[in-house]
Amino acid sequence: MMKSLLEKLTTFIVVLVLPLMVIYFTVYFGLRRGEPKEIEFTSKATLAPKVDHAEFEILQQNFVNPKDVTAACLSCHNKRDDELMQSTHWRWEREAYIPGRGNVKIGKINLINNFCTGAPGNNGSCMRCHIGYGWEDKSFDFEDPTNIDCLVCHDKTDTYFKQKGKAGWPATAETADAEFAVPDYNYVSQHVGLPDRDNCGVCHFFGGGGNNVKHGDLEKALFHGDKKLDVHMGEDGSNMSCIDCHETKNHNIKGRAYSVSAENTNRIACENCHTDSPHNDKVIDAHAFKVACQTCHIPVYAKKAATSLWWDWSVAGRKDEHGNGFKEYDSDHNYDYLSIKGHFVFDNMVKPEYYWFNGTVDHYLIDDTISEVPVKINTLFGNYSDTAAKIWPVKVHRGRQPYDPVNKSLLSVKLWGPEKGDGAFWNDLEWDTAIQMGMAYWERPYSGQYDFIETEAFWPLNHMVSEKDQVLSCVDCHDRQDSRIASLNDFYLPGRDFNKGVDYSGFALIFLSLFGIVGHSVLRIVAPYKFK
Amino acid sequence: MKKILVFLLLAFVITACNKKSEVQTVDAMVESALTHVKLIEPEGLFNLMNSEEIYTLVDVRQELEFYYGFIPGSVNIPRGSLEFKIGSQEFWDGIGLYMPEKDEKIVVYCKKGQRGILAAETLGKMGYTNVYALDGGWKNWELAYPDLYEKDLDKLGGHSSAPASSGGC
Repeated sequence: MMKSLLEKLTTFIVVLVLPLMVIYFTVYFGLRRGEPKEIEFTSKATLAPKVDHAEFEILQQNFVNPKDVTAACLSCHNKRDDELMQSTHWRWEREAYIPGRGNVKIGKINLINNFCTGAPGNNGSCMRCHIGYGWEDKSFDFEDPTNIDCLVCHDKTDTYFKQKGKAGWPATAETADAEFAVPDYNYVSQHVGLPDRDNCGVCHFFGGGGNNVKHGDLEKALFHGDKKLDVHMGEDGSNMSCIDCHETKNHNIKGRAYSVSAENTNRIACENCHTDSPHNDKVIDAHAFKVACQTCHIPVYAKKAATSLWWDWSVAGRKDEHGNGFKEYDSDHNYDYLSIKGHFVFDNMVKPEYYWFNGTVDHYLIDDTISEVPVKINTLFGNYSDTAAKIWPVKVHRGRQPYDPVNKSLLSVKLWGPEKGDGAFWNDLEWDTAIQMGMAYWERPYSGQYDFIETEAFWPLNHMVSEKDQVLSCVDCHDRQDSRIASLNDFYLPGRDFNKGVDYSGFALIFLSLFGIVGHSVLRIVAPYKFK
Repeated sequence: MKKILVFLLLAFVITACNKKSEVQTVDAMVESALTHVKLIEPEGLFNLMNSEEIYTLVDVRQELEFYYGFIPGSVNIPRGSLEFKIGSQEFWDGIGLYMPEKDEKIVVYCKKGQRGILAAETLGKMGYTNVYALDGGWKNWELAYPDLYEKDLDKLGGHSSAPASSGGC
């Protein structure tokens, strides 16, 4: 009786309960597979200041010169100037180790780019985005703390701006115009706090001379974007500010720009918040060993405004029938010819190019000799066999820019000047004088001959992260016809690559398995009869 | 009665299984077209332009897209009027070009490639047997051959215009 009951119970469990449990748990975990883990955070930029600056007597004085505001800030926030004056935002250079070169000083102050070629010598225009007042020439005092512009980063009123062409100064009573008024220093200084995206974006969204020209993934639409534009910064989503990722301690802002930094230090990574296994799916998580998060999660960049992909200085300088410079536009109203800058190709919703990248970068330095064409403004290190390297999405900015065919070096050009006739290219459209002035400022040799040469610069993408239903799927890469990473052919990628030996070995294994199953079944059927 | 019910049930199941969605997304339409439309890369078109082969290059963008920049030698036939103009002797006489034969090579392009693929599919349905769509369209061409382009500024009333705020520094 007992035995019979036990047999029935065993049969019940094996036949009904166990299969149901298998089905239940398969469905349970299957439904949850691929669901990313939720991250909780509080946006720092929206936190209320711990003090009311309007109550401080020192901020109630009648400021006329912004340097007096800085002095007032430092009277309470002492030693902050020491921190800030060590930063790259202040120095525009840092010491870095580059393999094959050793320790070198690099930064905007001494690197050539393929946008406006370089900042030094064009101080009136470029140094508007320096966090100081009046870097007009080499006499600028980097040790004077009152030269620090605290307000450009800490203004919470959105009324404080540096004036165009004034080397970082705001408008004065003499220079104010319809676009730039004299700031109300009392109002601004009494309403300060942690930087929000307006403070960062006013410079970083307009790099290269206009909205989204340089980066491709940083533009003014991010001031008030939605989740489709950037899943982190979308106002209808996480609504994060820049400093939520670019964490800052003692004015040291984490998250170096990959394109202008050399070492893989002081950077930020998606894993800092999302961990290294965020997908709840082991197969996808395993991809992170060789694939950067950005590769799948930034399928396109320049989602709103177009970005510059080609900039050809060789055709700059043309004049119309009246002897004046002119502009032409493409059908999307992006300029595609400016006499002062040359010919452009702009585009939006751009698919990135993909490269191996281990976080370290080489640069064309001002004393380098050109050894290859196109000249690489920067070089991303990494390849498949490099254990630190991953596949990254990259914006590549290509173009032609002036070089010295005798000295075989890229040239620095004096582009900006305050008035016509001063020799600056944007005023007079004359190359030779502008190059002489540019090279003289940089104290570099110029043979007197110039021509134009093709260059390319590589900008790893980090922003404009897409929502999860817009990210790349398997077949975007694992596809024989149209793989996104078709150009990375130093490794075997299943689905994209094929090898007859591997393919036929696979088929053979499948057939052998089938043969084994069928053979085993036949034997099981035949055996009882044979041994009866 | 029981047989009728079983028959109706079977009929319902079969028709339900066979029912296809009549609504297609543009991506699905392009993907479907790509199963039989041939693509040509900018390098292939460049080589064709420098060969002796007879070909017709058709830009299927709207006129106001075309005038701002196009591949040299292109004929602008917006996709909306493609079916009506491609075989119209009057149209080709009007622009002073020979009307392409049905077996002649035709390359169509748009801004980024999708309209061109659908236009190539349309031409295939009309009996044109040697049609190619330019992969990536005008934007891909611009990046591959940034020096090889034309504009029709006369049609735009002189220099092209844009919002005053653009132009950089």
